[in-house]
Amino acid sequence: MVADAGPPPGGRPAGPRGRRPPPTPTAREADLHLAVRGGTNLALLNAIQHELFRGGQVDRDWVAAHAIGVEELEEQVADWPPERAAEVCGVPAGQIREAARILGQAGRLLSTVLQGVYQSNQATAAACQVNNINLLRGMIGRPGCGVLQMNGQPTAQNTRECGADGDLPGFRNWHNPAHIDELAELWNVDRMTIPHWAPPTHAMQIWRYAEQGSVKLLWISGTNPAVSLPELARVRDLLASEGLFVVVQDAFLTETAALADVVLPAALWGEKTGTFTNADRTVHLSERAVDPPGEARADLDIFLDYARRMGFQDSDGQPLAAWDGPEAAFEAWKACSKGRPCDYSGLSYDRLRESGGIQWPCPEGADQGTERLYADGHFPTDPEVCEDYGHDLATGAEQTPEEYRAKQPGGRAFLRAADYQPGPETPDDDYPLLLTTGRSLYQFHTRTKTGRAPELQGAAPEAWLELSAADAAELGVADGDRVLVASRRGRIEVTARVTPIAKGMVFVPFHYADQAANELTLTAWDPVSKQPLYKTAAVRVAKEG
Amino acid sequence: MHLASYLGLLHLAELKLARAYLEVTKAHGDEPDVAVLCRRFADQSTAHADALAPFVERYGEDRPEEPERLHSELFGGTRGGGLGLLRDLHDLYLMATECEVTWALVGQAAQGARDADLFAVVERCEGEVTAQLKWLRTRMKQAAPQALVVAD
Repeated sequence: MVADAGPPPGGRPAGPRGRRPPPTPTAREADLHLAVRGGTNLALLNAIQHELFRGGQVDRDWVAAHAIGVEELEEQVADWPPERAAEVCGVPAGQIREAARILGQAGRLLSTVLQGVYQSNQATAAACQVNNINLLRGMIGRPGCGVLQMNGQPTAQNTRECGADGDLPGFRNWHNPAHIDELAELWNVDRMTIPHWAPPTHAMQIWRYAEQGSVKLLWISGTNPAVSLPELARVRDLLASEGLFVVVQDAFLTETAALADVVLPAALWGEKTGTFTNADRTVHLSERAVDPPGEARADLDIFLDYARRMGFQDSDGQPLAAWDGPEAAFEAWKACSKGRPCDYSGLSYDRLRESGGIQWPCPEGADQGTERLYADGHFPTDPEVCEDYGHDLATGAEQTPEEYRAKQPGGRAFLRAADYQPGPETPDDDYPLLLTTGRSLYQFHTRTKTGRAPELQGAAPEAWLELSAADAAELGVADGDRVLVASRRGRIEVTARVTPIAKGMVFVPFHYADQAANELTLTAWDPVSKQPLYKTAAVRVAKEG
Repeated sequence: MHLASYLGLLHLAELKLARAYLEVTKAHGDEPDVAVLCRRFADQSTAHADALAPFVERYGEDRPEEPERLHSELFGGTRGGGLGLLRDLHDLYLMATECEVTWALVGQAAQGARDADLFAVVERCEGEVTAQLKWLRTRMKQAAPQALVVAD
């Protein structure tokens, strides 16, 4: 939930009511800032729900009509009074009560969730607790009320929908044979062509298979794992290993591309045509403004060329994929998404050009998109519709279709309960501080673009370490000192900044290749989402020299 | 009354399972999801054995000769590689299955003996073993195609 770290331009203003200033711009704007200890979101959220139940602020009628699982949730959070959570998450019990009071009395409630939840310990479980809070208050599907479980980039929203993010296209359920048949028919292929016998192999597992030698070719498109993945020493060894053939498709010669066997120069967004979809489901058409330089080509052209050269064919011997350009691919996607929650079938390039942006679902024949989901309190949980049959939040174990059906969700939302579990690595005597990695306002991802923009690069030219005044005093470190940060995986040298961050925690931005925070992070991921955990590594800090 | 035999059997099965989980944790540290969860399950299984201890004592007085042949040897040490991981998880699955069915039978006996304390322990532990089995099955199904079809 940390939108930006680092000092604001022009110095640090005082915090509200004379308290010490919070460490981020977002926190500085907050009426109440809960400085939660890394990896303990779930304890905090359980305590907030505990207070909502205790204070009678649960909309029992709405919940009874539109959600299931309230009994189990109430039982779980009963074990988490604010005092207990305070010991775990470092937020005073009074502040937890105050947060619950604000949430419990709000006339409207919009919740947003990002990497501070998704990349921390118990990521999916904690994200579900945010959903729970809106559901318990009956605050979803009307003006000012909703949950935005967002992505870091708009294109990441697209990948969720179209099947590049560990699901099947159109939010189809790999466990549902009828959904596989739909895809097989759309693409005119045998259903066994579509891998659906196990969940799609997640990115961290693909790297592990590469390490073990059962994946021998890795094709990396538009991302920079040599800086962005955890435990970089391992990632670099892997990319450089003899047995792995690496293809990198990117607009720039990234740190990853430098380790590739083949680099395919790709066009950037202004050099090709396609659509983007934002976190609020607005579909935008982005048209080519200039031609790509040199040999660079649009990603779609590269993939289609590959498919043609490989001779991929459908059941009738026709080329697979059948489309040959962005608009034809969009038409195919409209057919694929038809009838699914992300229905694009009423959209077209012409309509997008005229309107500037339309929110899905927009079924065929609809005059406009859909501003609000769940306005009728109906959720896409029907077994024939749902994207997934669900998981045990603690282990990631799948629920079977039978178990899911037995819950008879019938369009009601799931309230999911989970107990707090400590993260995979916690501070100890050797590595006594908890590292959380994050972002600077001025840099994006691994600086592939922002590092090439002089103004942005000048605003945040190098990495830094934030630590509390108490820890700095203990370590004999002053603001501006060079320090060595080390974990069990690696070490980096950065400049120290003494900030209002909680004692026991340190922060390093992850953008910088030559002072990469990911030298320090550990290979671990959330059991359900499989997203790497970047917010919980144990480190030690020492003054240089 | 033969409940004591089954309690002894279950106690030993949970301890063996805990040890096997720990061995897998150590052998497969490069599979972080496996290592983290097997470590947690090892603690759970040890706690299950501890929870049984007072009942082993309570019913132990008229304990007949322990039927040794009830103990099956499913785990003979860990193996490496993708196939080795699958085989190790498979062993754990069979061992956990033995625990799960034994808990179910002990639960029947606890009700027959009107032992509410024992039944409460059964209800809690049996649920945790079931959750372990579900994860093992999920993880094996995920690993099987790569290990059995693709790997050298």
